[in-house]
Amino acid sequence: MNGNDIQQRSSGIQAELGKPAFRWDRREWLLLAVVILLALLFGLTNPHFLTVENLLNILNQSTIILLVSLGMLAVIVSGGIDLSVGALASLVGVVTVVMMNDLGIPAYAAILLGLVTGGFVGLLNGFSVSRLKIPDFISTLAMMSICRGAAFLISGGYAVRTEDRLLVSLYNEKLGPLTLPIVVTAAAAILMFLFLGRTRPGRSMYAVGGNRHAALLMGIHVQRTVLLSYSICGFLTAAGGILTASRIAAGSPTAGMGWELTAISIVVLGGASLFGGQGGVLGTVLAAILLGMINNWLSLTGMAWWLQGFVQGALLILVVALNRRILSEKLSSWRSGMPASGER
Amino acid sequence: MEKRILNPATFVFRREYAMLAVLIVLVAAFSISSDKFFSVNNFLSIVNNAAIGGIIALGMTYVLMIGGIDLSVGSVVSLTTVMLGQFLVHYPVDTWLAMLIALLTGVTVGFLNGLLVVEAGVPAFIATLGMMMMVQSVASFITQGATTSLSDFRTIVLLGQGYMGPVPIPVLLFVIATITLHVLLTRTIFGVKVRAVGGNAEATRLMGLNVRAIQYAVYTMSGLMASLAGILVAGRLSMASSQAGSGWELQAITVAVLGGTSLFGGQGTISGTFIGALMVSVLFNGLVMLGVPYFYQLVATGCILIAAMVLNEFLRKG
Repeated sequence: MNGNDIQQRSSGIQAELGKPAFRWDRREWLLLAVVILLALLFGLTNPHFLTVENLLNILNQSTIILLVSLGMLAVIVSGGIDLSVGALASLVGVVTVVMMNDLGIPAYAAILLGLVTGGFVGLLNGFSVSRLKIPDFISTLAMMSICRGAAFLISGGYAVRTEDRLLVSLYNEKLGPLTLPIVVTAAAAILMFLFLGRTRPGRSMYAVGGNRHAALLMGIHVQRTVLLSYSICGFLTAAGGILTASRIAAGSPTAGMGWELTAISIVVLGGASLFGGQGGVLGTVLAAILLGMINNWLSLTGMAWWLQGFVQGALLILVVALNRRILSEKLSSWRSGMPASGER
Repeated sequence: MEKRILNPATFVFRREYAMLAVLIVLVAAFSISSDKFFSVNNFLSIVNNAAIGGIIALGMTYVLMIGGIDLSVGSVVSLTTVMLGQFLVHYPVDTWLAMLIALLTGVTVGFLNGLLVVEAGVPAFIATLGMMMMVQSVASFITQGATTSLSDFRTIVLLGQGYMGPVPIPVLLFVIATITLHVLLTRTIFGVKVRAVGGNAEATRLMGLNVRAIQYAVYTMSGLMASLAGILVAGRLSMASSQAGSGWELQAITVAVLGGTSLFGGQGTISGTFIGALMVSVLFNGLVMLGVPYFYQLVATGCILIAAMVLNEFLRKG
């Protein structure tokens, strides 16, 4: 390898580490093209699809899983994985409603405490991954079991209903033409976009996920970064859990089943790599909207419910397989030239 | 330290001993705190409960060994029971033929997993996750949400619930599968190749071994083991259901990892997975014997899983 080559490589790396979150890479263009194409196709086959009302409806229905996916994005970019999100969302819903019903805590305080619960559980996840060195897959799987059990224990096994005005109105609250969940999720997406792209801890996540050892040598506080990524995930998941409680007017211990895999699919569809260091907010948002659109169209046309899973699975495989072809050669060549790290 | 890195055999050995120690601690703790726990019958029932999940975990161990993962096994269990139900009840064929078709289901799904990972270059997690969603959909489509009773089919029920002497048949199959796969991994060329791919796939390829063929074989085997477990599930429940296997993929991974298999490939033993399966089963059985309510069991399982991993890490270092 001559000097010129090395220089080229390192400038490639520099460009990549410099601003991946701001550059629309080919994968995001591809995703946008797919979204627009499918929207047109769906609009042609069903006159109800391309109405403002229905499009807003799709956005509204995508918000909760998108919030969770944005949290998952932080974890996956840092090279981790969080299987506890579904159970945590359900636990947060139950905790919030039970605090209001049984302890008489006012709704806004209960919601705040619910968000704190989510952040705290995320922190615990981060602690067991970064300090106790338990593989992320196992420690968040254990946390999933703990959260689900705790949700059942606190609720007594049944959905706890609530009639609190504030909580119940959250999901349907109109803000101009948009609903509150859309505005909250958009705000979260913009904040995550700025955080991952423009701030030091956000950039550190890409570095830690891309090459943990190199990040350590660069002086990045790896453990703190991992801790932060799981905490963000817990916090955003809690927001999703509270919106769910608002939607169904209850804290349900069975809510959020399977969310972890849906959120991971969305983040990966959006261009993230499960090995860390890649992924962006734009792709994640587009992927969530894409899945929302497909599910909406399937139910509009009266297609059977089982087809949703099939389409989602097929799409996931197809897009990831396509991405591997389309992904810029330069990027993949320097990546494959690096030694495979034993630890993620 | 140096020696352990240079000699993987001692390393693996130690890890297994660590898990065995944890298992013994668990058994001792439950024996002291519950007088119903320590009996031959209870131990047989513990192994019996470990058997079906354990069989899936054996296949999973091979997949994890080559640095992959198979999230589709739970859906394969579901689809296997559904196929059995279809071919036994709706298009009546001979029981053995129906079982063969059921096994072929798993083989096909496993082969498709291999195809996606090897030919399309899709990361294993994504390929098998997508496959899980699709297979689950197909199972739901076939049954349309209904369950089919299989209690009239004696062979199937016998496989899931029968005894050979004092030993339950699933236990017998589990032990046979464990021994077979252990020998395959440790005493055959194929096993050496599997371990080589897990250690360093690129180096193995450069050495001239057919890495792709090994990947195909391992994913197919995982599918086969999952549908073998599926037949046992159908027998134990006397029923075909599209929900029969939900959540089993995570349990199988837990069992394999508890047994010392690394999620990053290269490390793992079949005997470790056997111990891991027993451990999970002992845990559930012990908590039931102590009269712990189900909700607490979920919390306790999570806590003990973390504790076992911490203890394992501690014992391995110490």
